[in-house]
Amino acid sequence: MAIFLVLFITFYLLSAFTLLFIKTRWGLRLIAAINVAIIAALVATFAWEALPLLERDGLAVFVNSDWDPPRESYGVLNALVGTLITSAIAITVAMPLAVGVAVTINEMLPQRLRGVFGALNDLTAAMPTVIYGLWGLFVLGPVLQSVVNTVSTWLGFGEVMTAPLTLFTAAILLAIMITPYAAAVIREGYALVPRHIEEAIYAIGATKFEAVLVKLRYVKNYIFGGLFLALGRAMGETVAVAMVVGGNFARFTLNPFESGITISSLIALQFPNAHSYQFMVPALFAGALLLAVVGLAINAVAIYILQRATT
Amino acid sequence: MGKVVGETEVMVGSMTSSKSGVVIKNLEVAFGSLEVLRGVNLEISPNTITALMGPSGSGKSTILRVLNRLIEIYPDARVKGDVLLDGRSIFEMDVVELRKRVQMIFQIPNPIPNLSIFENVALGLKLNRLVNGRRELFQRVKQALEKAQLWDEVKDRLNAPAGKLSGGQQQRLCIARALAFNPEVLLADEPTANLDPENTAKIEALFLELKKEMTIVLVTHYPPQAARISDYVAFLYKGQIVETGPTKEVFTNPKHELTEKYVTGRLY
Repeated sequence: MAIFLVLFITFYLLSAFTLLFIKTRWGLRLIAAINVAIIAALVATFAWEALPLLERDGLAVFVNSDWDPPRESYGVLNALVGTLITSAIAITVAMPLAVGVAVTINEMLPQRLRGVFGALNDLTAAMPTVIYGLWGLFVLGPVLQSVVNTVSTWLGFGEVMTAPLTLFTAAILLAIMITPYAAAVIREGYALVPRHIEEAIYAIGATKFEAVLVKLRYVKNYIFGGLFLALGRAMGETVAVAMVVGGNFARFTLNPFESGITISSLIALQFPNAHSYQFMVPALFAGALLLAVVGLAINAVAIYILQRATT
Repeated sequence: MGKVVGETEVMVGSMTSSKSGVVIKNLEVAFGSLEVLRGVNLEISPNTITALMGPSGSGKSTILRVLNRLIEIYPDARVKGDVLLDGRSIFEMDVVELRKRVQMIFQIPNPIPNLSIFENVALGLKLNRLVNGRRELFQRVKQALEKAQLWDEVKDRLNAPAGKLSGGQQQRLCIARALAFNPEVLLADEPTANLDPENTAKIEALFLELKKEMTIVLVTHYPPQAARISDYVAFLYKGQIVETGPTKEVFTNPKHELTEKYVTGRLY
């Protein structure tokens, strides 16, 4: 905490000084400086806390997949790969779902039901994630296992999913969780298609389906922006993923149908006993640093896309 | 109302029922509880420019949106009565077929801004599979842009986004988009309301040229425009037709007091 405060004040003074050169109002400068300082101080705190391990191993912690606390050997590559696999699958599944939900609510439902379903969608986006986790643990996991195994047996691969709790379970659960979130952003953009543009599309003889496609193309920046925001959420999601991902810290795997781990669930699951080891706390902070940097980058891209959409 | 119907019946007698005339019969339109059209009867002869004029809110634009059934994308609109195109009810036709034959130009130039200039004209042709192959598509787009007198200005930047064009160019692009269909009827909803005099003159001249090939229904709230280019006018007031007839007659010898007030600029 002390480190954070010191870093915060340092970065605040730094960014306040930098902002003096940007022409804007004083109040805005103040608030912007606070924001920049908080983010910078957070990232710097993670780096500071991770320093003992970084000093011992160098950057090897980011490319090492071994996680063996008794031998004080730590690498977050396994978790990073798990994060990437789960979010990639989640976003691939969520993209058509989110577009479908947005189009269904905005175009297909009768006028008076749209408000209700829109509100329901926004509500599911805001539901506590532990509820999703519980449902994933007891319902989704077993169902997915039997569905995947039925399909893979039918395709001649045998039973590929040996446990109900795997990276794939986490990915599908994430997809379900982020779909309403992305759908809300897409819906917002979709509602911004001006009346006169919609008239133009129908006037040239577009069917309803074709009109939807043209309109989706018109709001494509909202779709990408919404998906990137959802991706940021998928990568950072912790509780629900920790409950269904399987918790395999030790063995490196690229197979989504095996038990795995993600950065955020690694931190959540290992933190309680981290202090019993010498270098585990720094290792977890190294993971947090990685997650923060990747998450910031993704959100920056999303905000950039959304801003381009509105100008 | 009786008097108005009487007059339109006189017009019926004087008209030939050749290709692509439009007959509007007892048309009533309401948006929710708001009645916009209250029993409109009108005959529109082929290869003429018929101007619908009247103050704001008189229902002019609504008539146009019935003629290509664009009114159906407004969820709270209710339509009663009938409209015949070539003697066939448009409500019995396939709506996409109808919109191919009856094209429309809008008050706000509305090319789809993220699509290129070329794509804006090509989209309707592609969606409706009206062309075979790229070469024919290019030819049709080029012809349409030439007809709309835009080709020379855009031929070097067909792939630029349509949103980059000036207002007058955007409106001519929309005209090209409509003309690409070789429509039988062209609906124009105050097409020059947002344009400067130069572009207005260009588009008016274009309409006079186009009426040789198609029937044009022009909505305007600017009487001098109706006087300049239309063959027939219908004056609407509060959802009803007050007076119709050949343009010259209505402007020089209006039968109704409201019409006189309107054409002399004392009623807005």
